[in-house]
Amino acid sequence: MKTHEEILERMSGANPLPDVDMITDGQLAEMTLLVEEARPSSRAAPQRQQLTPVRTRVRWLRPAGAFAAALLLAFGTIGIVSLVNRGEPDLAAESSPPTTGAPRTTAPPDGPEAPTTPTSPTNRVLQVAVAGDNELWAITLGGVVQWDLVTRTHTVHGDDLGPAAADFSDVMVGADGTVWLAGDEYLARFDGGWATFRLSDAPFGHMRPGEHMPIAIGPDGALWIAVGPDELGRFDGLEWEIFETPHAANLLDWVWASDIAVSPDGTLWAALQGMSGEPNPESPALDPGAVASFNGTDWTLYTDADGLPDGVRLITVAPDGMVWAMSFGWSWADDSGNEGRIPGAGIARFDGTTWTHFTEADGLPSNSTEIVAGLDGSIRAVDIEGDGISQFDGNSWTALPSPSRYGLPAVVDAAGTLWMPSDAAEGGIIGINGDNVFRLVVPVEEGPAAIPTTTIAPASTGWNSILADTTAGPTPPAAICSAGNTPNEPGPIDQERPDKAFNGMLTAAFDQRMGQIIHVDISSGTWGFDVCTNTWTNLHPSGTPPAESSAGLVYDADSDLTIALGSAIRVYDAKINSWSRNTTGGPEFPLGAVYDPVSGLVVTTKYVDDNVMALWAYDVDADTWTLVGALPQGGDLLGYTPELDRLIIATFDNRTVLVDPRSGEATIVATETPAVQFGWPKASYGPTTDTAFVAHGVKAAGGLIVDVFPGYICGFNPATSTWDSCFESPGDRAYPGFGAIVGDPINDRLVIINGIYGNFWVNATDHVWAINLQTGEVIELLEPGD
Amino acid sequence: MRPDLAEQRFQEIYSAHQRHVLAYFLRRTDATSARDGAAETFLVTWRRIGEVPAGDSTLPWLYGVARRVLANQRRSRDRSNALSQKLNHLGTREESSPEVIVLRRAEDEEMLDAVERLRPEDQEVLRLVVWEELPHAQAGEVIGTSAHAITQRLYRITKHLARELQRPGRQRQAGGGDPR
Repeated sequence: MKTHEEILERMSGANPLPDVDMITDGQLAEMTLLVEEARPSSRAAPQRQQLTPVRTRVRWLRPAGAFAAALLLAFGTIGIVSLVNRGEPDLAAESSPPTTGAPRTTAPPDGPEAPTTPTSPTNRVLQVAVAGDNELWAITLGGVVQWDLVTRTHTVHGDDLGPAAADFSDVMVGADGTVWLAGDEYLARFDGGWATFRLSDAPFGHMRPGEHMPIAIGPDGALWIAVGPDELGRFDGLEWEIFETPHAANLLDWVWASDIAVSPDGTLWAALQGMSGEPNPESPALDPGAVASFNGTDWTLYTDADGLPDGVRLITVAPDGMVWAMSFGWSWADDSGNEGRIPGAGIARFDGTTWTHFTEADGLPSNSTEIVAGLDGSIRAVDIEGDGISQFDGNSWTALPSPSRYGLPAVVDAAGTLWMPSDAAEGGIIGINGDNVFRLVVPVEEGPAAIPTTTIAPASTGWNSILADTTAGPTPPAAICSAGNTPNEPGPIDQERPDKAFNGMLTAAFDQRMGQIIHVDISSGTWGFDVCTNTWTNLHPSGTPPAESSAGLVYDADSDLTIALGSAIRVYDAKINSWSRNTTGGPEFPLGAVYDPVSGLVVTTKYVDDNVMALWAYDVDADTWTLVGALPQGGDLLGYTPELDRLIIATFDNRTVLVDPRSGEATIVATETPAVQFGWPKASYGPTTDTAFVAHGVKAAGGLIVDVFPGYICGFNPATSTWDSCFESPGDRAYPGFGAIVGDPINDRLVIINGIYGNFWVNATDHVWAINLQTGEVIELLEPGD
Repeated sequence: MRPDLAEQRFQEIYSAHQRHVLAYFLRRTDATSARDGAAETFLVTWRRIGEVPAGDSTLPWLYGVARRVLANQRRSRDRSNALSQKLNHLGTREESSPEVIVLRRAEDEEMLDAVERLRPEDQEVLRLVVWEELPHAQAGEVIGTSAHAITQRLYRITKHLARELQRPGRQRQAGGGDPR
């Protein structure tokens, strides 16, 4: 079976236009001409300018792109990982305080102070369902997890499900307590043990495996499943009963059941949507969606004319028999090019006679909500984008406390606790009941002793001893802030700033003598950020930084020079405000670089062939490169920890490799590790004096690409050999990346430059934040100027 | 919106996104239809410039318009082709333009055939995420669902495709067409 990534990679490879830069200027000009010819008649607009086809720059072709391209050659699958990685959802800020440099401890299961810890696939939750006997079931990337809500203990079902274990994507619990799992190929029923069934044995006529087939459970514990537009099946564990939907009777042409539910009296309800998600000229009344009920013999159809909201997608039946239809709105278009989004989305309740329509104006958190009918009889509306929860008292809706991060679906147990997949870093399931917050997280192995490690001797090709034989020279006195400085106060908002955009990795380095961050912006401007006054200075140096950098900037402390690595070496000397040198001969476009304070040399990595990554050393004073030796595994060179005297490398399979730069001995630590992915926007990392920090990080897990630490900036903790020094990502929104991250040793903080958002590297704010590495406090050093 | 601000806003949108919108169509239809569809998308944008969301919601909004423009193009074409398709018992799969075919390898063709057997909305989810490289939240904006739902759906889609691609005898029949 091919993996999720392999399928996505094939899909990417089948892209007939993999790069928008393949579009010719002529093609753009033709399109522009059409637009310009038609625009005047479309709408009068004075002061109109002529459009000019603009060649947009593809981020991958920038320095980061060269970097990524090198990796793509070496690791064919990494490119697609990066593509998918860009799709990670925006996350709101999490309220949990960070842990800072402390040994990772077992988290108490409850409360808002659960620490941010690396997690396991069993905490990546896709579906949840709750049973009346205080059990909660979750489909996760690590299997089916059964939680006892009283004891907070769990069971992971895997081997007991046989070959079907990895197939399931839906779980549902019937009113009688029957648990059903549904996947693309299998069904399973739990009654203390598992009975599994092959869907291919079901007598459907038009089943297309893999297609989303909504399920529901009847009051007798039988499973209902809707197949395509024209079949409905009922399975009691022994026999199948197949019903034709109205599609076959030509009643509901062009529609598809997007969701089904069963009433306590056995009536089946289906939410119907346009089959292709497009308006249907043959049945325009059904374009916005509809609801149908089936009593075993006859179908009844309800449309917006009956009071339903437009665009019904989901349906549920509460224990009291009330039917709730949920809408996410509906878009339409006609053949004249007119289009729009039908208003009036929201939800509707059917009491057996009439539909009552509710919208945001009635107190719903939004017009796109899911209704959760609780086992306690409660009805709650949960915004699908995480913007809030309301509860229905029979007449009106009242806002409830809402966790800042959650996924859907949600369920409510008999005690009234609302459970939902958590989007926090540790994943798992979050529960909320009044002011109480609960967390169900499958513990991971704790403590450094539990982390498997493998020690590997240097390659037989040998290890050059230059990093052991060379001793760093004295470093110039480090700058300190003046008595009158207030480094924790924001700098003046009206100040000249660098261009706000993502310009590649490590575009900032801390100049210890000057006490300022050297930053090269996307326009190749050289800037200094004074960490004592929080002000930018356009340095206007003589010379220029390299046109193409890859490993970015590294401050060589004993030489008091900032080195930019890329297609060639260029060196910035702050003492004379000048870029100079143009050295070649070393590893062109090295991958990651750090300053080694023991030898006083800069070390960097570069693939020497498709499989072997090598460590190189650069002596900026002598202007010489040395190939030190081969590393046991490729990855991102992120930093150096003097506490262990090891280089920190994050591998692409999310392990940490600690390399002794003196001997070449490497230790592979099987701890959850945030690979950087050297491509936009997951390229935000930066060194401090004693470790390295990564924003979010990515990994492949159970067929999905997920952030390792979503919403967090995590640092390697040499005391535990894990990445448990985590802080919330700063900012008022979820930034998938940052312009630069760099340590500020004067104030013992991490400085973060520019929040990058959206789909383009130019989408950025010109914030500057700091995180106090001792307290975790986030400080806004510079508010955005626009 | 003031006309001068509308013009400025449109210029910004056009400059930033013209390639992406044209690429969206080129990935789904022939070059001529792509050009026309992309132009139509920007004309809709111009007419509704006051409604175009800012920031990272702009591109999903454009893709949402493009999706409907493409649907209109296909419906118009389907109508004109309907009779001949019935007479010839042809499927409805749109054949690719010659210039696109040149770029496809046999394995890509097999992949695209499998993709085209998915539900149209699932096809679109896959293309938006992989080809347009949209974050799940933004793909959700285009489709009208949540990021979480996109993630789940993508998981299902790839599982289905993995099986489809391993299944023997799934070569596309002459004339193409959806097996249903």
